Amino acid sequence: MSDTKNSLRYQVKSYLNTWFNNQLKKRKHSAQTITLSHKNIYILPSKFGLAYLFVNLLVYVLGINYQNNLVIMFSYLMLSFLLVNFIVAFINLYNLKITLSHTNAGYQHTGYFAQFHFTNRDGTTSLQVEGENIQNQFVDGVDANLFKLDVQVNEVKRGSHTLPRIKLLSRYPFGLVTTWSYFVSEVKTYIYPTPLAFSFHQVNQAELESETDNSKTSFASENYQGVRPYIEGDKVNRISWKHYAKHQVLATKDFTAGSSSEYEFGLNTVPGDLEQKLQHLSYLITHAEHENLRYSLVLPNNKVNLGSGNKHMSECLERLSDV
Amino acid sequence: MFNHDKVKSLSALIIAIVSALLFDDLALFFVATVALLIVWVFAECYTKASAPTMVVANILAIACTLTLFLTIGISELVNLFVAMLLQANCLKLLIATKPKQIKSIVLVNFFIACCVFLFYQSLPVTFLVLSLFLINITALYLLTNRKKLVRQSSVRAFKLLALSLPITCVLFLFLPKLPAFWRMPSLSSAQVGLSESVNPFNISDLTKSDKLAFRALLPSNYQAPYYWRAMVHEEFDGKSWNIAKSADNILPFTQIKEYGNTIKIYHEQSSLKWLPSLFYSKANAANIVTTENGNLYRVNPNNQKFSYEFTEIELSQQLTNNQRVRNTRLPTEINMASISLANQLKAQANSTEMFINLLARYYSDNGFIYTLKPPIYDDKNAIDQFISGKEGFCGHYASTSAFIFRAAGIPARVVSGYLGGEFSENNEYLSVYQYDAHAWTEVWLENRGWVKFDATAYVEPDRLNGSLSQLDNIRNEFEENIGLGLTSLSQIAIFNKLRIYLEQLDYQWTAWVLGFDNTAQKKLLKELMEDVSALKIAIIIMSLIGLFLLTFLALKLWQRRIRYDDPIVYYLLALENYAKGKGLIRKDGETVEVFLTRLSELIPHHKKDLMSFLMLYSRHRYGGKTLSKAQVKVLKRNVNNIKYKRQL
Repeated sequence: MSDTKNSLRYQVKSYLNTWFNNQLKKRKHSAQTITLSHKNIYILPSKFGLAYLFVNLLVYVLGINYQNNLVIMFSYLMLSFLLVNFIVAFINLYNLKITLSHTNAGYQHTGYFAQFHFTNRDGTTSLQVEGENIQNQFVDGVDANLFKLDVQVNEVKRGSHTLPRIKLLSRYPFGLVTTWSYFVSEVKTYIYPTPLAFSFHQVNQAELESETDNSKTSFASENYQGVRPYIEGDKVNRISWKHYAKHQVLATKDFTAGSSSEYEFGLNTVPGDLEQKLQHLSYLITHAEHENLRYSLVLPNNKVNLGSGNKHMSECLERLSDV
Repeated sequence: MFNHDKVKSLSALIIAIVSALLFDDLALFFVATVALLIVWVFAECYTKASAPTMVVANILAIACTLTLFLTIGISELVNLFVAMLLQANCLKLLIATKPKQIKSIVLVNFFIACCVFLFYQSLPVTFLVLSLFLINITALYLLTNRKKLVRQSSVRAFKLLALSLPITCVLFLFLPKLPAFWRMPSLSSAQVGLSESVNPFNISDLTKSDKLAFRALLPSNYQAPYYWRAMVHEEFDGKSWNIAKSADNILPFTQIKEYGNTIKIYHEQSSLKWLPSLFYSKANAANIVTTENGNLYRVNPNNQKFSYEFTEIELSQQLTNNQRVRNTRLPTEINMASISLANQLKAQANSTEMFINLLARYYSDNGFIYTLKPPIYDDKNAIDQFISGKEGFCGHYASTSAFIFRAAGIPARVVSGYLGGEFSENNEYLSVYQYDAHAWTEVWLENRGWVKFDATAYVEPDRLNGSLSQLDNIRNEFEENIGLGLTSLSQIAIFNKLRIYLEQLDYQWTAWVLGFDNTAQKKLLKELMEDVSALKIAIIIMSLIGLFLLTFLALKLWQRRIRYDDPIVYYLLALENYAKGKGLIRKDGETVEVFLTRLSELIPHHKKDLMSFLMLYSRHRYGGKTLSKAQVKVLKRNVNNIKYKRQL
């Protein structure tokens, strides 16, 4: 029961979220760079501002009941002060430029990073950056110089993500009013499966459990490279008996670590359930890249051809995240 | 975290100032407690002193509250409330660590600051409260902007405060004033004022106070002496004259005299219910009624400054039996000498009028003296004592005269109030001080009603004109009574000028801000528009405030506009924007020359202007020559031609 309730709540929430983002896009909150102006700055009394208004009301009642003009004037002064706060708070955020500089993909346990650049020729004070899965950050002041802010998004689901809606908020000057705006980005950023090392024993298990006929299925470990046709003189303990059982052809497990070797990684290469497999593959890919190896990735509905280099690794990891 | 200590000290400062200011009204013990707590707060902020633990704080709170109840007492509810607020906030300050707690302290301090106005409303106090407000918002600013310094913050706070003052004035002038929602406990009066029972010695105490009682705006045709009637004392118990229980009965219907003048009073704080007026009168305020004796009686006095207007009314010239009995009744077996004096005068007189004259002559012929320092008459037969001592104050004369009249069977009573007053320099208004308090007698004449009989007039005729402070004969006694004050220094010219100036300023303040009641507001609105409606008021308020805020906003944004040090950059940008509209975009790295040539191909009819622009641009940019004013003008004309002039 509670599960369906939760999922319903989740659906409604995500629907509202999308709807809200769409509204914001219409109102010029979405771009690589946005400049805050009257169109996209919102102001309301903060919680403290409401408490202040309540005290304001108390003062007014006191003044009315004692018919004391000065106390009444004091309450008007409090109200006027609040009004002026609105203007000053608006001016504080006005003309603030926010640019999403770039995002860095990350792993499940780290989340990913986004870098924002802030600048305001006229200065902005006390800026707070908030968002879902983001730790609130406080920027004391922004001026004509570029201010770089790294934001860590603590997302745990692998896959591609759009940046959460960023709320830029300020309680300047007196904490009585909250001035805020949103930054909505379409930029996608990947969260890769967390690399997870595994032991050779597990590989054997995986190999034995594997039912596929794919002769190209490769094993990967420190120096295990694959199988090759049996040549006279090969050690008996290196014969792949499983291979023989299937094909009636003798094959030898090849352990010579060739520097120019090419690897193909696939789900069958690694043990565990799907998530574990992905994490192991993530480990293999990162590791292979680290060792300057050439590798390819085969996934049920996707394939990355042989290659190497950071870009190649990113692509492999991205495909992996998409599974 | 950064500024908590500063915020705490500022809040402590506010509490300290308010406590010290209300020193008179709140108990001394309380002030001492608060002072100790504040010292502790400062020690906590600037030395290594530690905050009390929860248990200690709670015990402290209970102890403080108990002592508050004991020292101030429940009877002075408002004082108690303010004191509790101050103390609670102080204790909270001592243990507050979180921003939320400190914020709540600052909020309560707003309320504390405005409470000062319940006790004092003068101009200096207003400035003081404004600075309290300033301190408080500085604290708020420090709380929100953690790295700011106190000086920076106070400057910022001051600017915003100054900005909100005009809006405050608009609201004050135009927002309709509501009547009181409910009755509040009134402030206990620590001030001197008239006493409800006239004992000669009490009145002479009043002459020691140089506090202002009220100011009056008199019509110019109204001549001295001004006898400000406040109370009628009809019951004599042998020592003092008291107000009859029925004195506050409301007069069922009042007939305003056709030719009667209207007199406006700005009254200082007073918890007294009886208000001064020059004659039998009726006031225009809702909570002031006219009693059977024609006096003004205030229902629910709240010890605040207030103003009212009164008009003369007709009172019936009949004395009921009851009143006659009450006004001739005397305690038996005292003041036998005075009674025999009364009988002696009665034997000589053949009418009440003649009796009055005889009594007046008796005072002036027998060497009676008017003095502020009479000997003490505390005998059972005090009036006899006075008649033989012959030295006395208004209370003695009033009391004695009424006694003698009653002894002769003539209805008489003692009336107390004020006599005279001091005109302001430009004769605009009359200031009446507490030392102008006076008592006199009223005698019933069958065909004329109650007639005033003031023995002082025969003993010290000068007293009738002006204020007691202006009476030369008793100046020494008077100054001795008042002590050193500005009044006493008035013989030194500078001080006198200063006193008069301050007095004038205070009057303006009182008249304009404190006297701005519903009537004054309606008058102002009537002057501004023909028929006053809520909608119109709302529109006026909204538009004035909106206009002000928008002007400020526009000014700020204008200050923040992009400024071009070099006019040519501005005009080039204008051309680029114009070209953009035509679909021509300046490429990255494209020189101005290439760009303008491309543009001139697009709009060949403006080639001349473009070339002129280009020439000036090259000369300025590459020739390194600054543009003259005429050249800037040419530039402007070129651009405007291109932008706005159609092809001819």
